Amino acid sequence: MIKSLQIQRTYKNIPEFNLYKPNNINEVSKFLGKFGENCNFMAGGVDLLQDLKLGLKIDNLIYLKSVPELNAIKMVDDTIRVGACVTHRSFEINPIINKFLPSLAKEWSNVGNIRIRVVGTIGGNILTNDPNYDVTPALAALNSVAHYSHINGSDRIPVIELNRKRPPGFLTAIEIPIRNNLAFSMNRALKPYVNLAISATVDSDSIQEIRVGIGCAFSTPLLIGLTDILNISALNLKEQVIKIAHEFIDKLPNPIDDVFASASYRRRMIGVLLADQILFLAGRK
Amino acid sequence: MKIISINYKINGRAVSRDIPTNQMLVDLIRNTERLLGTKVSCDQSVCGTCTVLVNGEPRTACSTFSFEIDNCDILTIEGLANGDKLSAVQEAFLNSSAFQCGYCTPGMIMLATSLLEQEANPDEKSIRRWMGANICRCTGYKMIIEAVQSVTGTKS
Repeated sequence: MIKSLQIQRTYKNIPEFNLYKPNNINEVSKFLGKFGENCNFMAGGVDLLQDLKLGLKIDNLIYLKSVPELNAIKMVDDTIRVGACVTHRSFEINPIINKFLPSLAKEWSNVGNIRIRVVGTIGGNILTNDPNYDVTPALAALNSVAHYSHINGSDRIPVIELNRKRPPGFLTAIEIPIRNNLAFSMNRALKPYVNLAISATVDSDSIQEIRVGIGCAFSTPLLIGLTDILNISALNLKEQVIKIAHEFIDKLPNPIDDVFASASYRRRMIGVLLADQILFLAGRK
Repeated sequence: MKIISINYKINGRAVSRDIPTNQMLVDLIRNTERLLGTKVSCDQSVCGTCTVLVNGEPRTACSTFSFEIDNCDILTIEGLANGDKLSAVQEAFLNSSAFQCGYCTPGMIMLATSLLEQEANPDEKSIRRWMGANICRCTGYKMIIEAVQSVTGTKS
């Protein structure tokens, strides 16, 4: 009796499935071609496992952690190429990420907890398409591009558009372009109401090319670019930034209105975080 | 039943087994290996009670497939002591009374062990952040933090 109860707790809903462990991307593509939509991919499995426990049925599971190319971070010209199966922990402590995007690496040490970070992957976080997850707004703000393989080939798709466009397939890598004077900041303090990431070009005189990634507040993450060029040394910089933030939130679509926070609160907090982050990048915080 | 073969080391002992593809690591540890120190509570990767180390990293055994540990080194609470000699973390938990009901304790000790393997002298903030991954429903967090600090010699 006790043994049967022990088995029931985790086996209860998870079906038996065929397991495949490809060694390279070509083999992954062959499995995709063979099984088509009846093909499930797993690296960390953070979300998939919970879905399975809730009753998701699968026939074929392709385990991607056995593919070295999907688990590496490397510099290719002026781009950081992050394999889709890189874990949050590997991302956080990676020397390349820490060299070129130290604020992103630092913020990533706060994502989830250590048990989640050593398992959950950058690609899985994007493809799960949960509006509360952090990767899409962060990497969208950095103008990142996803490499996505599907039955008919492969595409390069801006991260922010990936979940709107993708046919059945798998993510191979995300490219983060690096440029001179690139600055990044992310504030996750108001999760699950809103989180906000911004990137900008910041030099000694100005802050410009501001890109804003917003998570939690809408059914899918949003990316909005600002055309403003701000003079960092202007005496009225704070007033300018607050004006920009007000104009920004006035143009937003309606945020989510739920038990966690009203739409108007979320809208207001987006403005607060945006002004805060711009001033931070300008060295005024 | 769909079966695959895996090889692993558990508490230093090399093992080869045929397992169902849908088996969870916690079931392998408890039902097959009969190592009952690893507990199950939430079964959703939230509480951390079932924490074991896979290649030195803390993993939630309730939400890890057994096939994922192929060619890995597994350490459970039973593998920490050397004969009758407890590990430094186990000794510290005992000396700091860092448990009440004790159900979360194996997971907490494994989590603390992984921290100290990766960071020899973590400050209190780092300890709190790392140990915050697991839940103690008796809320004995203060003693747990103190136990970890006592191992590093940073206990105030």
